[in-house]
Amino acid sequence: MASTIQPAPRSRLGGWVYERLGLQGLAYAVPEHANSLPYLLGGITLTGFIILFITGIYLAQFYHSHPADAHQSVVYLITGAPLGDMVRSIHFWTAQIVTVTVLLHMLRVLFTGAYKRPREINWYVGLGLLAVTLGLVFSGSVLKFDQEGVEALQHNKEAANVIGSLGAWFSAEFSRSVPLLTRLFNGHIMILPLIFGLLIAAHVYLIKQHGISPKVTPDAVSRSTTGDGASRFNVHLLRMLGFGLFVLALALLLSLILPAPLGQPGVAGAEVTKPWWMFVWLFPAEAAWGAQALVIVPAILAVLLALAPILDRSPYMSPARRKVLLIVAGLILVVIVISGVVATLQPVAAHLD
Amino acid sequence: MKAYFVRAMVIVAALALTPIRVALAHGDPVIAVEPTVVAAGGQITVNGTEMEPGEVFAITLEGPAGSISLGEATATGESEEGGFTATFTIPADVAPGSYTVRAATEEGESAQADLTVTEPSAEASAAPATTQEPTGEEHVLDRAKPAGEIIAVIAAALTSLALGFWLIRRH
Repeated sequence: MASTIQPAPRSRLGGWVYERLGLQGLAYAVPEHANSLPYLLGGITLTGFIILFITGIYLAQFYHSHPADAHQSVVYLITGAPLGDMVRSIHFWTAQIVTVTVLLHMLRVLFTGAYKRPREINWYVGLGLLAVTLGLVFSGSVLKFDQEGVEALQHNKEAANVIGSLGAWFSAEFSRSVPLLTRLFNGHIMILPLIFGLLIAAHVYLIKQHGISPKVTPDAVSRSTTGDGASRFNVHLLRMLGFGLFVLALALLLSLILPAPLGQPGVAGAEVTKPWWMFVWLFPAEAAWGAQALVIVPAILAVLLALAPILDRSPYMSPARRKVLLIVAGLILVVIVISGVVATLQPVAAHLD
Repeated sequence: MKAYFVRAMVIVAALALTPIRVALAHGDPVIAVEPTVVAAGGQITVNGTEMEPGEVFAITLEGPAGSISLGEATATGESEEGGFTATFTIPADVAPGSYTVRAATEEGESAQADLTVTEPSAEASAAPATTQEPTGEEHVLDRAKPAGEIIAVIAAALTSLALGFWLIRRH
C-alpha cells in the first residue's frame, strides 16, 4: 500500500501554494493501472475540453451567429483576426481528437465491464457526456455555415420533424425573433457546456466515490477501489495533464499542416457534401429509411448502451466471461465502421425531402 | 408528505410531456416562415396566425434593394383564430442576404419574420471557401502563415511534448 502523504514542495512559494490549496488532499491512493493509457482516456478527453473552452472563448469574439453573416465572419476569422486561423484550427483538431478519445474511453469501459455495480449511474452519466460531446461537435460543424454546415442543419431539421413536438426547438416558430443558427450558437457556447459541466462534475464525483474500476484479470469482480492502490491520485493527475499536452501538441501540428476546412457559403436546399466522420456512418441508413433513420438508429444504439449494465449483471469483469455482450457490441461496431467506409466511398446522394 | 411528493411528481411529469408551443397574445397578426434559410428560386411556407378570417394579406420580401411582392394570402377560420398557410417562391435573381418577409393588410395590420436568402441551389459547391479580389477575381483563401507564426507554433508544440513527457515520467 502506498503512502498517502505527499512530500511538501521545497520552494517557499510552492510550500505556500501547497498548503493554501490543500494539495495534500490530492495524494490519496489509486491503483497503479489507473495510470495506464486506457484508463487515462477520460482524463485526456477532459484536458482536450479545456483546450476547446479556451480556444472557443477566443473564436466567439469574432464569430457572428446570424445566418446572413456567419460564413463571412468565419472568413474574417481566418483572414483578419490575429492568429484566428490557427486558433480555429486548434479548436477544430482538438474537437476531432476529443471525439476519438471519448469514443475509445467508452469502448474501454464497455470492454473492461467498468459499468458494473457500483458504477452503473456513472455509466449513464458517461453516456450523457458522450451525447453532449456529439452535440457540441454537431453544432460546431453547423456554425461555420458553409455548404456542409447548412446541409447538416437541414438534416437536423428533418430529424427534428420526425420526433414531432420534441423537436420544436429546431422550428422557426419556437422563437420568431432569434434565428435557429443563433440559438444553435447559444447552445454550443452556453447550454451544452453548462450540461457538460454538471455531468463532468457528477462523473468525477462518482469516480472519487467508487474509485477507478479494478484491473481486469480472469477472476476480477467489480467493486469499489476507494483507498486501494500503490499509486497516488496526484501522479494520475500529472499523467493526465501530460497526455493532455500531447493532445495540444498534436492539435498544434495538425493545425499547421492541415488548417480547419471551410467550404463555400452554404446554399439551402442542395446536397453536395458529406458530414464529418462521426456522423457519416448514418448516411446508408438514411438512404434506406429516410430522415427517421437519423433519429431511430442513434436511439437504438443509445438504448443498447443503456441496457449494458442491466443485461450484464454478473460481477465478473473479464471479457472472457462476457463473450455474448462483447460479440454483439463488436458486431455493431463493425457494422458502424463498414457503414462509415461505404458512406465515405459512395458519391454524394440527396436525402432531403 | 407522500401525497405532496406524488402531486409534485405529477406536475413535473405533466410539464415534461406538455408540447412546447409559443404563447401569444391575441390581437396582432403573427407569421412564421419555413425554412428560415432558403435558396434564391426556392419556396417558403408562410404560416399566419392571430388573424381575422377573410383578411387579405399582401406578402412582400423586404431587403436592402427594396420590396418585392411575393403574392397574397387570405386568412380563413373562425372568430379571431383565423390564419393562413401559403407557399411562395423567392425570385431566382434575389441577392443573397438577410431579408424580412412582411404580411400586411390594406388597413395597416402587419406581421413580419426574418428570412435569409442564399445563392440559388445550382450554385451549391463542396469546394473550399474563396475570397474576391478588388478586381473581381475569386481565389481560394490564403491559409499560408508567416514564418514567425510557424516557428512559434512548432516551438509551442515541442514545448508541449517535452512538458508532457516530463509530467508523464514524473513520480
